[in-house]
Order: sequence, then structure tokens, then C-alpha cells
Amino acid sequence: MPRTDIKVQIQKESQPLAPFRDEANNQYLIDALKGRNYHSQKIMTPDNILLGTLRDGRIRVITPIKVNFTREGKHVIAEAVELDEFGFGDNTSEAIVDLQRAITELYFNLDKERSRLGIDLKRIWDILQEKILKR
Amino acid sequence: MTIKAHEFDRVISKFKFKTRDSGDLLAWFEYKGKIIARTRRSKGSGELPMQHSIRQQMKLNEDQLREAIKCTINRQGYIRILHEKGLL
Repeated sequence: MPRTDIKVQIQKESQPLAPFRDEANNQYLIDALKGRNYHSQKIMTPDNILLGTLRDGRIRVITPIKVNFTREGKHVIAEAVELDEFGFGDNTSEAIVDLQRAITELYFNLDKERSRLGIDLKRIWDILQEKILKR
Repeated sequence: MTIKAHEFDRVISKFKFKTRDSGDLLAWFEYKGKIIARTRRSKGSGELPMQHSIRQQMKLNEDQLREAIKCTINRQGYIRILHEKGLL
């Protein structure tokens, strides 16, 4: 009698709680259980994000900056279209860091030269002021 | 279309962009004391990523950039392009 109880328990535990979302996720879990490193054939790059920080203590993002991602050969390109600025790297994280650096540099350069900005750069400076605040 | 680092350098030199080294090569175009356009390229040689964005920052279309690389547009031609786009 006790033997039967144990068997029922094992069967219940082996049931998955929910179906896996996709094959890559499934493979990841199988490999994780077997202690293998998982190398995905799929490159999971989001189409866009809202950037809420520039990793620079001097300034603060008050309105998130929309960033679009594209792939160009081996590079990931992160583009802040409204600021006409971009960053790139071997992966999404590197591209974001490069873009953050570029936007920060753009902010301080335009701030320094704001009295002599042309029409287009004045427009970008106005957008930057809406989105970024100096601490 | 593609643009190589040395071609980028040639174009900004021909258009007389001012440059500054800050990890990347920063370049900006001044006209009558105003800063009209700016762009940048990463260090290193070879083909540049983000050519589309570089072209956008320089306010050129594909044909114009191609002509600029071939050196058939000079600073005066570039000023004319910016003027036509209402940026001056």
C-alpha cells in the first residue's frame, strides 16, 4: 500500500506546470538540467526599448528615449531616431552603452554651444531638454 | 551603399568639418558662426557601421553621399544642399 502512494506522488511531480513558450526555451531548460552550456541559434534582439538612464551621474533622464534596434552584419545598431543619434556593438548591451555615451556627449556638446546652434541642432537640443535634466 | 573610414574622413575634410577626438571621431559643420550639422565615426579603419545614420546626420541623401565620396561635391556644393533643405 505505501509503495502505491509513492508512485502516484512521482507521477504528479513530473507533470509540467505549463507548456514551454517555445523550442529555444525548452532546449535551454533541458540543457540547464543536464549541466550543459546553451548556445542559441536564435538571436533574440528586441525591436525597440525605452531608455531610462544614460549611466552618467551628471544628468538624469526624465522622459524615456525611444531606441530602435537593427542588425547590420555582425553589429547591432541602437538608434534614437528623435535625437538623430546612434550606437553600435557586437550585441544589444554594447549598442545601448555606446548610444548612452553618444547621447551624453551630444547633450554636453550642444549645451556648451547652445548659443550658436543651427535650426536642426536647436530642434535636437529642445528635445534633449525635454528628456534630460542636469543634476 | 557603404562608406569606409577613410572615405568618411575624406568627405568631412573636403566639406571642412571641424573634428575632435573623444574616443570616437566627432565632426561638426560650421557656417557663419552657427553649428549646422554634426556626425561621428568609431575609431578604426574599414567599413563603418551605421552608414544610414551617418548620412542622416550629414543631411545627405544616398546619391549626394555617393557624389561626396567621389569628390564631385565640395564645401560650396554642400552648403548649397544644406541651403536647399532649409538648414541654413
